[in-house]
Amino acid sequence: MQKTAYYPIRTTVGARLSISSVKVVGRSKNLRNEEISSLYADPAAQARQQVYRRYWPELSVGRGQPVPAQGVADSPLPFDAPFPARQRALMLYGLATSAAFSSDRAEDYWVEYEITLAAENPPLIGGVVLAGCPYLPYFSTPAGNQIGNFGLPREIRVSWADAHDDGFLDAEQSFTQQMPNWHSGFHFLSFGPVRARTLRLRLSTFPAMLAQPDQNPPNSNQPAPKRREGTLVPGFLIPFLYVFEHRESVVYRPQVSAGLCAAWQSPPARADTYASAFPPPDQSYVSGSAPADRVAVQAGLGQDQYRVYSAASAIHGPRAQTMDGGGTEFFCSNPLAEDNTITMVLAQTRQNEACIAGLRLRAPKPAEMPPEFDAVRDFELTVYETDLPQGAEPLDRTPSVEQNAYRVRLGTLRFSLTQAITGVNCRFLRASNARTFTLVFRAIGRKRTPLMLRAIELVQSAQISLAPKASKRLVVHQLNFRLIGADLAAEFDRIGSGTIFEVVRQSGTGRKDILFHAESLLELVEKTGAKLYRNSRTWEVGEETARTESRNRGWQRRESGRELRWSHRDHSPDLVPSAPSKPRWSDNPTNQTFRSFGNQEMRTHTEQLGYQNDSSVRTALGRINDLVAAATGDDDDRFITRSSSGADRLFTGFSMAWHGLPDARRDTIRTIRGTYNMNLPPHALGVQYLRRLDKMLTNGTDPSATPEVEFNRMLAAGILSGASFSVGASVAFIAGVNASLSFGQQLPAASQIVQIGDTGTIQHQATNANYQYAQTLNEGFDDNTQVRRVLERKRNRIASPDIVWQGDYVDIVTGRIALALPMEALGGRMHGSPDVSVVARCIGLNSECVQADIWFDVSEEEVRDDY
Amino acid sequence: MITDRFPLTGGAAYLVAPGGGIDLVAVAAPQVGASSPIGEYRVLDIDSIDLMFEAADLMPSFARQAAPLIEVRTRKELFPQLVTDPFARRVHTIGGMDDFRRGAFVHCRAMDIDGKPTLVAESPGPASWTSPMFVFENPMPIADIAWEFATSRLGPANAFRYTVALEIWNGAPDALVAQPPVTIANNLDAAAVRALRLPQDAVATAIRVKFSATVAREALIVERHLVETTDGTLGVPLLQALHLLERRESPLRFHSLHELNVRSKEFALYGAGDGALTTGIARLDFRAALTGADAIEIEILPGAFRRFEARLSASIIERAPVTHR
Repeated sequence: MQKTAYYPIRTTVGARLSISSVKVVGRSKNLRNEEISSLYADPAAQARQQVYRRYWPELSVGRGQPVPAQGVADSPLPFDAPFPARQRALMLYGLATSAAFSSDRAEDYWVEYEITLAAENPPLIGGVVLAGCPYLPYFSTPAGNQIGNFGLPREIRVSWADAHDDGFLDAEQSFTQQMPNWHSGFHFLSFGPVRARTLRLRLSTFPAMLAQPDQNPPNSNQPAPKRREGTLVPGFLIPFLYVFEHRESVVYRPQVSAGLCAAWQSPPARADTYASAFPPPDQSYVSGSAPADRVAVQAGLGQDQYRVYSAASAIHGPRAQTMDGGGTEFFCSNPLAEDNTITMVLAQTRQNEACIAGLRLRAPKPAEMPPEFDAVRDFELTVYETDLPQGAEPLDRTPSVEQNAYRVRLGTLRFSLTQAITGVNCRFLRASNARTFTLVFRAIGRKRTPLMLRAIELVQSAQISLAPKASKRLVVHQLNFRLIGADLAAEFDRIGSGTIFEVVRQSGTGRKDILFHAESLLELVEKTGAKLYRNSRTWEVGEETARTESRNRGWQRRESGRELRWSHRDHSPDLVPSAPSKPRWSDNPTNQTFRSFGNQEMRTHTEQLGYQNDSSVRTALGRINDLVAAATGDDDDRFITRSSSGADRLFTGFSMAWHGLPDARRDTIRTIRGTYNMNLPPHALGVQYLRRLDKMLTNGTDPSATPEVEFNRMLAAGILSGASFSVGASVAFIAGVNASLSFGQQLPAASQIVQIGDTGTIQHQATNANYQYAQTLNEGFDDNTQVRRVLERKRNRIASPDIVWQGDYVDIVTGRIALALPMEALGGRMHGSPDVSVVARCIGLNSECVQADIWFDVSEEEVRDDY
Repeated sequence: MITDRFPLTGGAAYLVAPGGGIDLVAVAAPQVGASSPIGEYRVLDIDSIDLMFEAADLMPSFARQAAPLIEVRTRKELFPQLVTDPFARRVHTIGGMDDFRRGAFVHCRAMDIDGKPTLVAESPGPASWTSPMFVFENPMPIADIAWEFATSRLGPANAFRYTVALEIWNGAPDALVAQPPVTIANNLDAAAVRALRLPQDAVATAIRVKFSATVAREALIVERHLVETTDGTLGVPLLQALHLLERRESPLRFHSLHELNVRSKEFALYGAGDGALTTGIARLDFRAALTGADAIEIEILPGAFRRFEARLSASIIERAPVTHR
């Protein structure tokens, strides 16, 4: 497909979609009687082993026909598989055991599966990812035909019926991927997003399998034809196939998964290879195939067995228990003389080509190596990126001069196997965006030792870069970036969790142009004019725990007194005068310092003010005394002794203590009229009686002046009523006046007491302290007073949460930086400076909280001067 | 490494006669001058051709002559391995999705391959495509033919084999007369040269292309496409374009000094006193980038001038040494 953009770290591989059914819906005529089947099982399911056994041949060397040792006929899930081993994977397989392989007729073989997904509603499909079996025996011809193709058909077509396309004539509903040679890793057939529930998978142009003769062909009543040794048969084996959901994401991690296209040894080994041990009748497939994998035949108790040291194991991980003693597999070539080479063609297998900064090698430990070899051997590794024009084949072992022009050397490393035991890195001269790489290991020194490697890893560049390609002219129009994070725009002073985003352009003259540099989100938005899609947010206290505690320890001394003055060196008399300021109520300043007024001497006086200040009361009291004297006939008899007017006043001394409080505010008090109590006999109260008594009391009538007639009448009325008459005054808690005349109670009587008057108190207090001194020690810890306060606040957006990405509320920043940078093809005749690139320094940009994607808009044109 | 461009200087800048002289009329007819070989990995970036010419009297040459006074010819690899004069050719390209789909397919289809409409074979069996008939208003002489495939010639030669033929009709558009077909490619492999210079011009008023191929192996196809009615397997992406190069008169053929003047950026004539104008200079506007075996030739009408020099105003771009291979 035409590329108008380059996505170095983007992927659209989402979750695995479960499969409900798989069935074969079509096959070519020549497969009518062959077993074409499928298995939907765990990658480690035992049922798979029974299938794998049929894909490994018996050899034609040694004693009898060696069979695969335990663990050889296996295809463990590669460690870089896109889905975990606990999830079921679909396996598709078929073997035309009765047919002989002929490459001219390979396209005659095809089979079509129908895959139904388990989802109730059509899910959003991103595509299909599948892998062949990296460990299958294969031959690679000098012209670049890998006949085993790791079990993968050379053309795979996926068709679907999208719910949205139904009824349209020109809806694109098929995706075809055809390659002459497929690599051994996972292939992403990304045709999505489409919404469908059923897929049709058409596999065609079968590769050749060095298959085990099938003794019991399943779908034929005819006896199995006798197979010759070494016969190649058409077939396919796809151990792992997944349908994945379309979901955009980014992959930013050092390790880049890879796949092996082929590996060969030059000059070819004469023994201990599949080519020497499994010669097919058609020698064209073997001559010059030069397999790099060492095949070691070991004598067994009954039948000889063979073990394989495959190059694929260094890339995809080893098969377990394939070595003596149960060790795991590693790559081991046959012995190499000086300047002999091992060539491996690798392809990175990410959905989009990553920027590769180098590769890492690791050799097996000496104890794991075959005993006849040791690790004392140097190798020179040269790595090329292989970006060939359309139609040219990276596996071509005799490339023309023109074709070699499209190989760009990325790095050279000289290492020994001893060094490689702990791992050696080959860092490229510049990051590469190529899909395919050629690794040439050249033996140095005369000692004949094989190349042994346990792991070969491609390592992604920390930067996102774009460099010239060999066969394509590029025009890099612009760099795009997209940052997505839940709290991305919460704070503008940094990008994500804090990093630098920088774009550098190298022009080939050695000078770098920093096109853009930002250390904060604010810079990022301001300088690029990026768009910020931000959720409005506010602060919300989600949880608060408050505890407070305090401790104290220390001395305090307090001193006060009129002679004290400020003595501290920091004292400023202008700011803090020693003398207290004047009181609010007086214009005169107080000439006292550090003096606390309110001495320990305290005077308290409570005065009940009754009749003293009311002359009428005093008069009435005198009259009552006179009435009592008249009744008793004794002039000295005083019912109540009257106090003198103005006596017992409170206000003597303490003038200083009142601090100039005016006397009018201290001793002004309302006139108190006293309290009158009166008992009246209700039924005997004659009008004359009350009138008389009222006249006597309220008008100040002298009781002794009462005419005898009237007094007798009153007396008679009192005797008749048994009432008592009293008028009096008392000084007690309630000040009052009363007079009482009682004649005893001769009849049942009721009385009513009426009080008339006011009461009042005045209480004044004053203290005066001439000197005080206090010295205290404060020390202690009291858990009753311990208070600890911790606040935990959580942020939450509760206002306008309207930016949603894959189900989460996030902030999004997206922008672009114009580049307009042409890059000539390195394989062209005239141009070819590899020192031109665009580098986006963004390490740290991707984090747990921010997903950063960076890509380039490009125009690609394949060079046409390859003639 | 970056290597600077440098002006073309010295004798190398002059077009030279067969004897090596720079006076192109000092030799016997034909009086032709040619540029020096350029060589691989160099580009001659030409801005103009500076001419200096002398005659007893230049004024009569301002009238158009029957034969061209001066003709500038360019040898340029216009298409891979097709060297011709781009100023004397008009290119008619048959390609594009409309051209393909209006033709007839047998075991092949038209698909977008890397964004370019391409004939893609379907296996098994030979594939063929017959174009619609293209009728021109007037007969045109076809001098060269070039064609493009999706795959490069660097791929395996046995990837496919193909045959291309051109059916030709002559005469007026409404009275076409069939001519013998021209075989352009006959069972060629994938590595064969994809251009042809016809031994003699094929004059055609109408044409039809017949293309057939047999595919032996796969190529890289990663495409999303329509559901096809056929049930075949895709083969190699094949034909993408066919270019018919019509012979035209070059605008750099000057029958008079007037025509040269019109085409020149600078033009001046000189004479002595009131005498005839005997010397002229012209800076002929000529922009081209030549490389490899490309060259410029200039032919002078014998007897038209007593001295004639031609010099390239150009600069040389040279590729820096390659260290990345």
